[in-house]
Amino acid sequence: MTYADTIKHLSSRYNLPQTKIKEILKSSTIIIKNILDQDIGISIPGLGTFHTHVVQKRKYYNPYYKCLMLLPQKRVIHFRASSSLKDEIKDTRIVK
Amino acid sequence: MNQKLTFTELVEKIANETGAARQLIHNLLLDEVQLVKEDLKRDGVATIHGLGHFRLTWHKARPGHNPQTGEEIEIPAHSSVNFKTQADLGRYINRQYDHLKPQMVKGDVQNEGDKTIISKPIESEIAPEYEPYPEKGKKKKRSRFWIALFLLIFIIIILFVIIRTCTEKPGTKLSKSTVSKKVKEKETVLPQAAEKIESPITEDKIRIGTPGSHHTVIPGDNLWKISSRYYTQGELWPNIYRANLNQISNPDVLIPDSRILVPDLIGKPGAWTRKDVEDISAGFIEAYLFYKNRNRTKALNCLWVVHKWDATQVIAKYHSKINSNDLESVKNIPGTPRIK
Repeated sequence: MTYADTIKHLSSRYNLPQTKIKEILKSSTIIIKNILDQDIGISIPGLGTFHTHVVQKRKYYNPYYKCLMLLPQKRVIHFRASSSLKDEIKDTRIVK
Repeated sequence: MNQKLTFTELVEKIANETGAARQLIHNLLLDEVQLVKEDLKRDGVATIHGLGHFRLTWHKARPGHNPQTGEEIEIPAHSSVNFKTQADLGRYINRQYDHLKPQMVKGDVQNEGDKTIISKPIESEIAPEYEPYPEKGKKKKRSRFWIALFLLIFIIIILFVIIRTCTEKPGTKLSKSTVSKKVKEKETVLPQAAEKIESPITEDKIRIGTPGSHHTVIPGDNLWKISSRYYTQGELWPNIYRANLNQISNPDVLIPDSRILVPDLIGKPGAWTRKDVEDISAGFIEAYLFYKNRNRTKALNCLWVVHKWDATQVIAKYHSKINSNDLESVKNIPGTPRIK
């Protein structure tokens, strides 16, 4: 389901204009971004938790330049699925 | 991670930001989560706009150990969820590290084939030995630059050659040295040919012609032009046609580079001898015979000239080939031929 489909679905369900739904979802995304940027974790029931951690600088082999490179440190977002989500999808197998 | 934001606090923040009811935001977010779950179950992929993508990964059943008891257990096949951050979000939270770029390690490779050394810890002392990371695509840009330069030079050379060849074409201006060179070449190589071409320019020579002289046909030539050039009268072209019946099948078409005979005429314009009149008339009769079944106007015109010249002997000679009706019809046409 695309972003537009999600907005249409929620708009019809709550009988609200799509612009209002869009505004709420957009502000929620911005707030989540800012919270993660402040190194604060977020827990969303039914989905899981998001938090950030710093990956230290490290060496790696670059196959293109065929030499060792030093990758600087960076922050990454880590997601841990909630137990309810795990239970729901554990038997789901998508065959493509 | 020291702090953690609860869902209630998140809803409160969003409500303060948007001014919407908390219950509405609560329900909206939970519904969105539900949609993500449905997408995952249906497609194996789900997206939260602005955050990232969720993807299901299938793990086969494998043997394992209970870490507490050490007992061997069978881990059943199952799916797990992987999350991949959107690039925008990744850049946003890493903007404080924007100044840090990957760097090439100098002189630190003991065994290039052994790639396991990439996990070695990094000491702060080795940092000055690093070289700036070569920017991606720099090699390609360099190669493109050289290719473009080569193409430019190639095009310039081609243009130079074209311009030079154009300047050497006849009718265009040449430098003095080139002109003198070419004139000398012509004078030395083709003196006789030059004389032949230049000789008909004088009117007397043109009119009289050289007995048995030949003319080499050039593109654009026709019998009228050749007749004008040698006899000063284009109307006498049938005389040339008659003399070259063996190689001119169509008087309207001449093959370039072919040599045709320009027969000599004894008299002068206005004072043709009887032999000249008979020869020219015979040429007109040959032209008539050619045009008889092709172009009636031209055919009658040729026959009319013969009739007006009163070339009875010639008409009698070709009597069997001339259509009597044509002969009768040209007798009634008034006027005099333009041939002097």
